[in-house]
Amino acid sequence: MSIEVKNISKSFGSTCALGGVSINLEENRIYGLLGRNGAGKTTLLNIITNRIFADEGEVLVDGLSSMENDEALSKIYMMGEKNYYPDNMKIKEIFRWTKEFYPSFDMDYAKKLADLFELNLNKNVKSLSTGYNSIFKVIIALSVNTAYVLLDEPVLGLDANHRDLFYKLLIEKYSSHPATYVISTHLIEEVSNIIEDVIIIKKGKIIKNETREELMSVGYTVSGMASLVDEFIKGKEVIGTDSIGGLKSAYIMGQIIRTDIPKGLEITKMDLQKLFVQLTNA
Amino acid sequence: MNIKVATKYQINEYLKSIKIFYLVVILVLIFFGVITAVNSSSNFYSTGGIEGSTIIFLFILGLNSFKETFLMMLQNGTTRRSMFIGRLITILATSVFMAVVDRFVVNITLLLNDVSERFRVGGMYEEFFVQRAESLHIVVRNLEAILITIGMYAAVMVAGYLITSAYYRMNKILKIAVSIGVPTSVLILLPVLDAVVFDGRIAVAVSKFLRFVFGGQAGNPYNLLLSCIIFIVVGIGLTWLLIRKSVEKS
Repeated sequence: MSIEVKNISKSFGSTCALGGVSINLEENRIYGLLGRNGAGKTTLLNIITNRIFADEGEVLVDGLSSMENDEALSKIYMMGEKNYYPDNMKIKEIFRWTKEFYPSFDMDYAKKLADLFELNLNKNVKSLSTGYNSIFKVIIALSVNTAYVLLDEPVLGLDANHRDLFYKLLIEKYSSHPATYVISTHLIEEVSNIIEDVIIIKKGKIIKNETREELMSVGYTVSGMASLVDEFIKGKEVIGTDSIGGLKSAYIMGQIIRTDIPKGLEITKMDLQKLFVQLTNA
Repeated sequence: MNIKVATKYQINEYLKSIKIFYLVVILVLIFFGVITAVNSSSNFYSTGGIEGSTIIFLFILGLNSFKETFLMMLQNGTTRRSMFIGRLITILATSVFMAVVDRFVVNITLLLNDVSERFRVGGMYEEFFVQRAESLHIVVRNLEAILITIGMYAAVMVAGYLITSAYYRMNKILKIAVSIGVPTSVLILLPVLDAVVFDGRIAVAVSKFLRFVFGGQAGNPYNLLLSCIIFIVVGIGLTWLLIRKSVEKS
């Protein structure tokens, strides 16, 4: 049970959006799909969900091609950054139609989430703010109960409280009803503790597709007095530093050799965002 | 396949507009009925007006049938094929329903013709095929009228659907070119060319063609039905060619 993306290529005019992308989205995992603007994240998700067509390659959902296949597509729900729902439709009508198209949609749970997010179900789509436009789609994504849920910028426009609530609900939902979630976002720090697998896409090519643990083990963070840190990082591959007052943190690629660590320095796991920036720069 | 839900959704999309349309039609008829009854110097004559307004309404409905539905279907994991089949079922169901309702309204207003000579409303079928309508039994006439009207209604809806699907596929420049180019060619360029170069022969040929399409001088409604069916089949084929590769355009 998985979504297999096989050698997908897609160009828009002379721009190559995806070049031979192959990934496997396994059952009941949470993936972070990370990439800079224009890297090809949304294009990839759009191809998986039959919204656009690939120039080459194919996508299999549990062994079925997702291209013009209702059965395969019924297993996927994609919450897009762009709104595809009719502007004049009320949220409660959208919920009702979602239930028609996805019989596994949990209406009671959706209404409960609407209460939590203080979403007025009698409002129509065009009257919602950017944040609430994301919220109603997030609620559908969390209530739809499909095997695969693709979230493209799910927290766009959400305030910190709502973002926090969303992450909490996502973890709760994943624990009670495991499914495959793919989160495409720029807020890497916020999702770094939620995602289990990291897919980094750069200029239409997959440059990393590993578990978070594997990815984090390629480097580490060292913190302490600036002078000690500066001394320690000499000759090491430093991908970034942060300084506050006399304290400094440095992000270093490579394996930790515990015996080399001087007193007064603290070693912690690599920061995913720093790693992402390093990997996708240039 | 999601055809059932896609059809249900698309029928539901039309229902609200159809309800409003009939409300307006009934209010207009009542308004003029009352005016005619109250004011003895006023008259109200309409032949084919009910079906005519339905044709315009259905054409506009067809024109507004693509983009919003298409995106909604993509959002809900429904293929273009299911959406398209659902739309064809919707067009057929709408045409049948409105042809029956319109015939019912026409028959009611025909009864009113007997009450007052100053309030006369006739059906389009009776207007187009006068001799044939008079020669047929009332039941056969009504059934034939419904059949022909279904063909016309479905044809205009397919025309609207084809145009809106084509516009969706076009880029901005092509849309502007078609929007200006087609009316200019048909309404200005062609008549001028006909008058200056062809000495009116194009107008005569078009007139002959339209007479044939609409049943001709012989007054055969099945010519019109056949023309509608041919148009529907060609229109459906062309629309599918446009829709099958349509994509979201963000």
